[in-house]
Amino acid sequence: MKKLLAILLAGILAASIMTGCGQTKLVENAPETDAVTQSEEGEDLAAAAIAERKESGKATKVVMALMCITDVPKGLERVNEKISEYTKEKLGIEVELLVMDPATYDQQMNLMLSSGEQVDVFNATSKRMSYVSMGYCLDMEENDLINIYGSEIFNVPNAPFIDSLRVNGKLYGLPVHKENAVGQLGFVVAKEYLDEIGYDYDSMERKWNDDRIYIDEEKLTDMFSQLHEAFPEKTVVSVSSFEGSFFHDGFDDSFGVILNNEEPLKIENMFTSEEFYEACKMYYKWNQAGFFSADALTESANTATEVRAGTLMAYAMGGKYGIATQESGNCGQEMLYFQLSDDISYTNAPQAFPWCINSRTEDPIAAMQLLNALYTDPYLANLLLYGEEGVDYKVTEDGFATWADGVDPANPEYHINVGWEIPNQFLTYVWEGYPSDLWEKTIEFNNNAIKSKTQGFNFDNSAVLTEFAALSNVYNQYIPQLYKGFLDPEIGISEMEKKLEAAGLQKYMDAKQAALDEWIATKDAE
Amino acid sequence: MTSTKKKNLRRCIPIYIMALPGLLYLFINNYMPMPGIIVAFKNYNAVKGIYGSKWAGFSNFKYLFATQDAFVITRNTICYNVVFIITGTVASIGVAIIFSELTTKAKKVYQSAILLPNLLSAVIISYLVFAFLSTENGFFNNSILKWLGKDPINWYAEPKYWPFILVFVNLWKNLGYTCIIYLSSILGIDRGYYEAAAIDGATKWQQITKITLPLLKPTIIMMTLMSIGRIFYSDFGMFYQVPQNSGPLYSVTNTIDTYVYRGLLEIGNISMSAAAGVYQSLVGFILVLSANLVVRKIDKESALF
Repeated sequence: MKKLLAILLAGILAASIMTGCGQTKLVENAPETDAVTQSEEGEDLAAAAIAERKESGKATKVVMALMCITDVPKGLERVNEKISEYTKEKLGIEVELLVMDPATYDQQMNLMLSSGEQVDVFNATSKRMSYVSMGYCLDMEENDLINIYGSEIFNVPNAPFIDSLRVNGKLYGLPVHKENAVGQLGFVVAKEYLDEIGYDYDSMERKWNDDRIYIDEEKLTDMFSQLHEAFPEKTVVSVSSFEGSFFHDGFDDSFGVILNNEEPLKIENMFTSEEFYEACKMYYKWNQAGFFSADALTESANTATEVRAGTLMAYAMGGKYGIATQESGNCGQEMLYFQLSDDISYTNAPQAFPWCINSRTEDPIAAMQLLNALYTDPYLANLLLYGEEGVDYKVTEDGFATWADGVDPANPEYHINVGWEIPNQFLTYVWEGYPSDLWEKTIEFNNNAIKSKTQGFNFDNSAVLTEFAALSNVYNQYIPQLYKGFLDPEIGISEMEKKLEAAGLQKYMDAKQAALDEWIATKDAE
Repeated sequence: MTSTKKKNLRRCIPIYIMALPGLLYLFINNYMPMPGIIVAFKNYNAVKGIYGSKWAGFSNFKYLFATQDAFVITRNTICYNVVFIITGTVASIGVAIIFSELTTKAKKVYQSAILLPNLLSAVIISYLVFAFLSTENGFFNNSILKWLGKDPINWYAEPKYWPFILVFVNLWKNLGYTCIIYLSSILGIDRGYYEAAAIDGATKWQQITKITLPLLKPTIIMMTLMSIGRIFYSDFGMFYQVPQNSGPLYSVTNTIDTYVYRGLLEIGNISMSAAAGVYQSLVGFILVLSANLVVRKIDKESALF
């Protein structure tokens, strides 16, 4: 027995030494890249890097990961080959696309990044800060990487938002070009049912000069109760805890938010605010009136699917330009959009779905040059978003993209439709059905929204992770109940408040305030 | 003396060779990753690697005990497991004895039927349960309660029913599997004992209490010790999927595993997840050792080691 133990211990020791070696090697790899980039200056370097790759005869493989919102497309391999064909010719890079569905994406990315598997360029969805604190993201300005090899990225319309991706002054990611504001408290309603009850939506105010209709809480509740009366068998409205939660700027979480977007900026408790109470009361009233499904607490089905199936009439969704068209497409019928509150550009809006380079990538230059191409090359952007022209999509005479002949829109081979996630969707054709000025209007929408004064601030919560874990647990326990109206806010909010206090809300908010004050001080100094 | 030892060894070589793949697997899968335990005591950073990351002391463990939830999750984990062990053991031995006494040809069918739930994934089970308990369309609310003339119950918002539902679902799921283990032990008992007892006029009940149960004791102890080792773990699917992650039920469904999952889902911190794992295995290890110690005090023969 003793002998066996000794052998085992020796084995463990040997194994740990082996894994130890593997780790140190990785660390030593880092400085090598310095030597390559610091040798010369100027834009020729970028061309030289491409030429060098091409001359070597073997294209550098860059693995790129992104999330799709449907199943992984069947035509992925074919489109991937097309992309590679093009990038080999243009950049000397062979691209391997990793497309994963949303249910597994974050987990898979976490595993791949922590295990050191090859993934060079990836979309960080909402996990940016966690990835940064774990050291997965490369500082893009290290050795002037982005200035030399990705300089064109600074020339695209959303470039001003680049700074909002900085953490402690370092650039760990690049923003996606999309709408960077959200219409608060909006609801998508199927037109069919409103027509049937004879609801007059045409004469209502269109405050934002687009297809969105302005409505107040009283009118909305009245509309829902009319719908409920006319169609008692159907669920009136569905509110997910995500879509119901657009209230205030909290920098990736709701524990301590900016209630008043005015100087001096103060972190306050959202859960004790009047607005939060009013919203919860509205949801509670709705549930009492029977607007929600009795199974709402456990429901996870896609709302658009439910509308298609004819069991649901309306659902909550953040507003933007063209939202009604987008949702009409998703629901397979005409939908109208009603919005209660303003459009607000939160600090974390441009920070969502950033593109990052893995800190352990073997060839940061190739990764950066691929990103540069994705941000500036319309051919690549269209290929990535819609697939092959003539096979997956075609361009109409008016310059819109639409389904290619013979493609079944219900079951296309390749149509990832994640414009808000690919680096620069403003390069792509506007899909048929949307207004032709969609991209110009989206930029306008971004500019007109109420800007948060903390644009560019990041809260690194790694010092208060203990509190964050505990607070998240309380949040997950109470928020779905409150947003789905299953808990009387009179009782529920104070109960949640007590638990949040015990979980360390004050400490978390203090840390956030301290970080914010420090950020303001450095900003003022500049 | 030494020559006989050598002879023994030589005779055993084929057996050792047969055991080699298993041992190798055990070594690669269970022993080689062990140095990774230190991740729980580090602030893991991918660039610096496991060994280069800064030490964090016990700070990664703090969140497990940070709130009053610490009591609730520990209580839930342990109490559910204790109840699961007791109900599971009693029920599966009972069913195993019934099976052993059955002589019909349908026995095989019953056995497969009782094993089937064990092969279902937690997600499927959660929807089977949902089919019974759904507020709008569930079997209970629409058929049974309506027929009894009672008001429908919003099952997923009422914590008081869930301890019973979970114990029942766990039993239904795991009964078949443990039952087979006990059944195989019972079938291994020499039929001669029963024949002799029958000649002496022992009733069926006496045969069960005086022959079957005493001879099953080592199996029962082994199975229980193994369960005790996992008393700090909970069947994640059972406590997360089956209650459909419903907030109002957290007070009776939150266990260490679901707490860690919910808390870290958004953070994705490797060190903190590792800390939870280390804590669970450490307590499990201590519990197995002490339970074995108790068994050895009472009955040396039955102890595992």
